[in-house]
Formats: sequence, structure tokens, C-alpha cells
Amino acid sequence: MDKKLLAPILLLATALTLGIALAHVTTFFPISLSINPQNATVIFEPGSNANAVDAGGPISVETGTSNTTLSITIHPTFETTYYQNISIIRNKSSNAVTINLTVVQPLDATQWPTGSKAYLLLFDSSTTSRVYDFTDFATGFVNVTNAVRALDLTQEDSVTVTLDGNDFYQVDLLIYIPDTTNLTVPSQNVVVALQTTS
Amino acid sequence: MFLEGAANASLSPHGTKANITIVASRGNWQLVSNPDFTAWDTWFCLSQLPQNITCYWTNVTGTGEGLIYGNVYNDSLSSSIIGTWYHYGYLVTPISSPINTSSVNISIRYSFTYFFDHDGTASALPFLEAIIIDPSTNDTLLQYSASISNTSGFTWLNTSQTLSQEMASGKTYYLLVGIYIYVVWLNLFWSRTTYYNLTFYLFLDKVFLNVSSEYYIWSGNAVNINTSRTVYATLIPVGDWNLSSGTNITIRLTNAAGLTNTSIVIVNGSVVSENLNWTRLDPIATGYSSGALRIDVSKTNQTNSTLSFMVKLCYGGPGASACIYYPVSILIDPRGDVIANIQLGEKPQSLAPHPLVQLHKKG
Repeated sequence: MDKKLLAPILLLATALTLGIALAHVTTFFPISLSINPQNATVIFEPGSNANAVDAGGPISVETGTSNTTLSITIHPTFETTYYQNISIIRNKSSNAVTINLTVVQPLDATQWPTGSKAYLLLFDSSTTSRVYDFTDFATGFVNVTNAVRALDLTQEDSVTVTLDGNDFYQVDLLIYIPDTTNLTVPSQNVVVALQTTS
Repeated sequence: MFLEGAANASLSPHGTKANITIVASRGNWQLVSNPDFTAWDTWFCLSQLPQNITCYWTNVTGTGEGLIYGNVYNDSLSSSIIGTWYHYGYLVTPISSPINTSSVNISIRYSFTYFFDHDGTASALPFLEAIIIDPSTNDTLLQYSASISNTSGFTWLNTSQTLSQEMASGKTYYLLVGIYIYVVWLNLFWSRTTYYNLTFYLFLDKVFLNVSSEYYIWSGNAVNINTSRTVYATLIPVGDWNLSSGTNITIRLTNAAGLTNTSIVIVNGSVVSENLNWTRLDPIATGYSSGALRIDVSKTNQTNSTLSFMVKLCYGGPGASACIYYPVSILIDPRGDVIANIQLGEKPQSLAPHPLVQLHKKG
């Protein structure tokens, strides 16, 4: 191409470019944000019977580095197995909080003998004993009646409670597996989400 | 952990639930749980010298036998003119009676062989012994001795004996059956070395201990309990019990040695005492049971009685860690007259010969 023709093309492109840029006006207003991570005010703690033993060996209760996660491994046997004070939900602040527990991934009761039950039970900090109900003796199911709330782990159940400042709830587990079959009962994972509202 | 049937027990597939029927009968009742050494093992060994005298039982041929055998040796210098030595070995089993009784009938089928190599001054005097002691007081209710010699094959010893004190119903006693050998020597020369070498074999084929009553009686392990981990157990009475008048029952949760901290006593149809403390149950060797739900019953009439429990078992300590609840229901059905009742339980899992657990004599 003739050099005399090339130079004007380049200039035109440059002029056009400059024209497009000058059509938008950008203004910056400085906003100062101060983000200070704090420790969680509601945390999990191992209960008095955490990391003890059951029919299958050590009970595992892990709360994570910052105590904001709770992972429990238990080995219940047939009939009723009751785990008292396996974990604690503690409010470290001085203000009351609202706690919601929701079963995100329930236990599939169809994989277990008919009539199987699984509950997460909340007891307030002042409760030292449990009230047992044996009226369902014919099936072998033992119920506990003095819990603040009971979360059915076989359903997408949800409970909402208020936790006072500087207080805690005890967490128990009740597992009932009727001894009606010779088949092996499979292990299962249950996921429960905890949501707090100040 | 699981329940295992003794007599008349219907269990769930994994042995976590039991329905038990107890048929109480009038007449004689045999108190030894494993009288012919073919059932769940409840025999232990009490030996003077565990390295030299031991106990052993075998069921390899399908017929059980208990054996006490030993080899003891003496070659000591003595300045006494007359002296004695003694050697003993016993098989020990826990027993309980359904009634208060001051007399028992003992029947033992045994064979005995001994070899006594000695110098001219020594003599061996063997005795077959049956002893009943109260482990809670160390009192001896019975110490029966029968002089025996070498036998060709098995022979029976039968005797009725009066106890030095009444055997209370529903309480654990220990029955000891075995051999006691005196060695007597006469030292005609000053500071003479006395030599003997004694070898003996006592085979016990059957051991029966009977009581007799005009009431409908039953005594034994309603259900055995086996565990692979240490647990603490108690009983929780549940539901409405149907106890007719004339019903006397002692219910105990016993450990392998027959001892308990957990008991309920019913007299004439009314609960008169409840001790619901924790009884510790430990894993134990094959053929034995970690514990049992033991029942002693006497009824004056033929009316049925029903009871129900939860057997509560906790890992990690009394009431601690995880606790499981096993439902047990019991029907007591008194009927008929029985002249003699020989109680046989379930066969043990292991048929191999095995040595017995050692106990240490108190005091």
C-alpha cells in the first residue's frame, strides 16, 4: 500500500477512538469500609458425653477450629440408644439470639426397619436429668418428654428457639431401631443447618 | 451386646428384646446351672497352687466333664515327729435357691485316680468335698467331706445334708465341689527329709444340688447377657405388673460371678424392696456369660404373674455416655408336679477344651 494512504487511516482510527472515550464521564467517590472479623457469638462445644464410647466404639464429636461446625459420629444399636449431652450450643454474647435448626438432609427411614426413629433433642442449661416415657414398651421405643424441642431427623423438620445471652442448650440424640430383621442396617448421614438471628 | 436365652426365652433377631416364660413346678428343683458341664459355663476354679493344681472342662465328645487335676511334690527337711500337708482344688459355681431352705440333697457322679509316690512314713488321705459358702459374709453353710479312694470308672455320691444356717431365697451362694487331700507323715528320725510326689485326677460328670418344696418353684438365669465392652446395667420396672397373692420372686441382674447391685424382691405379691443401683458387666471368655437376669420364684398357687422391665445398659459409666434399653417381659406360669427337674441350658459356642477362670479365695 502507498505510505501516503496509510497515515490518514491510522489518524482516523485514533480520532474515532478518542471520540468514543470522551463520551463517558466517570467520577469516583471514595467510600471507606472497615471490615473486622469477629468470633462467632453462637458456637458448638462438646458435651459431657462427647468422645465417650457406645456400642461401636468412640463417639466422635468435632466442632471445628472456630467451633462453628459440628460433626457427630455415633454407632447406635437396636432398640433405643440414647446419647445424653453429646454437644452444647452456646450463646457467648450477652444478648438473646434466635436459633433455627433445620434438617437439610434427613435420615432415610425406609433404609432402616419399619418404625425407626431419630431425634435431636434440645434441653436448657438447667436441666440435669431426663424424663423417660416407657408407655410404648410393646415396641421397645423409649421416649424422652422434658426436652425444650425435638427435631425429627427423619423429616425436613425445623425448630426455632430463643437462646438467652450467656446461656446454652444441651443437645441429645435419640435413635430407635426396632430389632425385627436379620438384615444389616446401613449407615447414614444426616445434615442439620443452624441459623442464628440477633 | 446381646441377650442369650437360658430356658424358655424368645429373643429378637439380634438378641436385644426378650419374652420369657417361666414354668414353675412343685417338687424338687436343681440349683446348679450347668450340672453336666454341657451348657453355658458357670464353673470357675479355686486352686491352692494354680501352677500345680488346675481345673479344666471339656465338651468335645458332646458329653461334658469337669476335671480337677494336680501334681504336688514335697522333699523338705523337718524336725517334727508328726506333720501334715494338705492340697485342694475345687470347681466353683454360683447358685441360688427359690425358697428359704435348711437342707439340700447332693448328688455327684465322679471318678477319682491318684498316684502317691512317697517314702515309708507318709500317707495320703483324699476326700471328695461339697461346700456351700455365702460370699457376702464368708459364712460356710455346708462343708461335707467323703473319704474316697481310687475308683474304676464313674460312681455316684448321694447325700442329704442339713445346712448350718438357712439358705435364703434369691441370694447368691457359691457351691464348691472338689478334692481335699491330707498328707500325713511320721518322722521317726530327727531332722529327716520327707519325700512324696502326689498326682491326682478328679473327673466330675454331674453335680446336682436339689431343694424340695410343696410350692411351685423355679430358679435360674431367665436370660444371659453378653457384652464385648464393659457396661453398667440396671433394671427399670415398666408397666403394670400382674402379681397374684402367694407370689414370691427375687429378680437380680448378676455379673459373671453371680453378684449383683440390682435386685427387686416381691413377697406375697407385693414389691418389698428395690435396689436399682448399677451392676458392672465385663467381657468374658467364650463359653461364659458376662451376666444374667436371674429369677428365683416360689408360688403357692397356680395363678399366672407377669412382669416387664427395661434392661438399661450404659457404656462409659453408670448412666454415662450412650445408654441402650432392652425390653424384657416375663410370664410366670406355675403348673403341675415334677418329681425331679434337671435343668439344662444352651450349649456353649466353643466345644474346645479350655481352662477355667481362676478365683482367689477370700480370707
